[in-house]
Amino acid sequence: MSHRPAPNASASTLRVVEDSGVIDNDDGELVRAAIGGDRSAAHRLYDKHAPRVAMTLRRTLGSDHDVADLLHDAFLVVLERLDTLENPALFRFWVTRIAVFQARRLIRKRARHRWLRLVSGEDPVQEPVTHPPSDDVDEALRATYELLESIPEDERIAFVLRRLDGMGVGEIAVVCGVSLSTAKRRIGRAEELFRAGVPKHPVLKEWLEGATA
Amino acid sequence: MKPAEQRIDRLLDAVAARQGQEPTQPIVGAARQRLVVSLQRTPRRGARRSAAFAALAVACLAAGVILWLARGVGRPLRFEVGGATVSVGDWLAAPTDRNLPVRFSNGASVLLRPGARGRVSAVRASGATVEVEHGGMAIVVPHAPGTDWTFLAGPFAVQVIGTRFDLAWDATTGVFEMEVMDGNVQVRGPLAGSRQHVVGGQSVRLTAANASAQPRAIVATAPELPAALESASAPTLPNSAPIPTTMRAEATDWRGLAKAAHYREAIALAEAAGFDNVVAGSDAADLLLLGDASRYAGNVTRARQCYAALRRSFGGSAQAALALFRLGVLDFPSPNAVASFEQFLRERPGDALAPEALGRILEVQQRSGNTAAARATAERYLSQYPKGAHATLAHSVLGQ
Repeated sequence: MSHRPAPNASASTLRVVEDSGVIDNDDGELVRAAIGGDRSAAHRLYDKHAPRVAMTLRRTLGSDHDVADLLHDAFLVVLERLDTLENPALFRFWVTRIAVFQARRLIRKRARHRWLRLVSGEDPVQEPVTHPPSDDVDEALRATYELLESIPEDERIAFVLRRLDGMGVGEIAVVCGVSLSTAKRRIGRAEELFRAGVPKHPVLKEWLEGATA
Repeated sequence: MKPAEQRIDRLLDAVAARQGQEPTQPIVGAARQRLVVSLQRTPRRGARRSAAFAALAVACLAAGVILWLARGVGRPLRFEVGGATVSVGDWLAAPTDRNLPVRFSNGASVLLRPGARGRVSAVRASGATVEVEHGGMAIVVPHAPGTDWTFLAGPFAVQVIGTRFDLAWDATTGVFEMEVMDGNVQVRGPLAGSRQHVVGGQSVRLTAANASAQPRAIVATAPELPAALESASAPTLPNSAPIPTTMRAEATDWRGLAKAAHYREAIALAEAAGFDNVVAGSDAADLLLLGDASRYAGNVTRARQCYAALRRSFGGSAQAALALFRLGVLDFPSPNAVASFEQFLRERPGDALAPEALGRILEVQQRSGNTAAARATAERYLSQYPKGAHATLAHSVLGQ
């Protein structure tokens, strides 16, 4: 994943995304209007995309903790650099890519902290989940992210974007800044690791055995 | 598919569904509030607040100071207008519908509001002198040792060290207005001894007759997101300025230029090719593009021509519906805009621009004093978009 989220995807990847019908030319209009000083256009860009980006961040991180921070940071970068966006119709991918990149960085940071705590003998801090565990699904949600933490972050992110966030492979490639084949490979590898991990997790194992609907 | 895979699919579907049940609105709202503050506080790009970045910024600042000292103080600032370098003393005119950004090499910026005129009449290593002939400007001057900026507006002079403020000078009425957001400035008026400091959070409104009026607190208003966005306005050149080399697109047809946001050049090419012929030979997408480029270039007549042709020749298409929205924007805030916006809403009720269309109808009715219609539209707006950008206005119209 690139360290400089660029809104311009490769031609082949872009074609896949265009074919998926998710490029929004109205965004281009809004971006141009915002750059031109139209105050309401920037409002609309935020109002239109922030809920979706927040959901992607929630799913990438597995909790709401830090989502507001990352959402803020992503839009701050985007709104301050609107005039550098070469293809305004790709606004959605740009902001999502920046948000996902920041989430990836946070996941790495958390992993480092966990490792340091383990080395120092401290108890690892549990990340809060979206809901307090209260039923089977909440328990499954927590367990799913426990398992996902064992998967390398690039594969994990691609998997979450595909299986939980419902993105197409082309979108994932653009958002993660990789080629289509790399995106597919990451998703496939994560699928393998996830499937292999489910039978070993006490909670997820019940889902696999059909004990939980 | 194997039963195990089906169960894993079911597990992931259940997890995704649970995550989707929880509203994101509180998160989005919290981030939005912080974003407003951040954009107001960090007008420069790339400002980040992590400790690591702060440390890096301090290091860069220190390095910058060393470089500044090393290169001497005699080198004047450079500046550019809309990405192009212009000369000291050149008059700058912001188009009537867009801002014109002037950016200095030390990070300072002066944004000429639509219709404003002025010029950079002197540059120094420590700052510059900017003359305001008429209109408003949004000014950001980073604080640094020895900074010296002067803004001249009629008989008034504003001395600046480091600050962020808005300034307006009406040459017709002789009224000078200023709002200081950060820092402090010193204003000198035409009368002997009429010198005063205005600090962040204060505003002044002066005329030659009352040049010693005391600053007053800025009335708090609802924060708006794009306050800092305006420092990133699209490159726009004054009509009198030559087209700079840096703004020439590689594209050689009007479409390429328009897509590259070089609207004036795009329209110039279309005119050279015979604008009417271009319109007659364009499909719906090109007509929309050409109309938009005309609008951004400030050529309202050509924009209307394109949108009208689009409506006439490609009625029923998505582009034709969008042309209605654009026509409404062109007429806004005239009451004539309402018909276009209403027709747009009939043709594209679920469009992403629908809330804006309805909101603009509300604005037109409210501004024109059509109270009954405005109330009805406000109720309609709130029922459809209770959290929309015009919700505050709608509540206000309804007296809530």
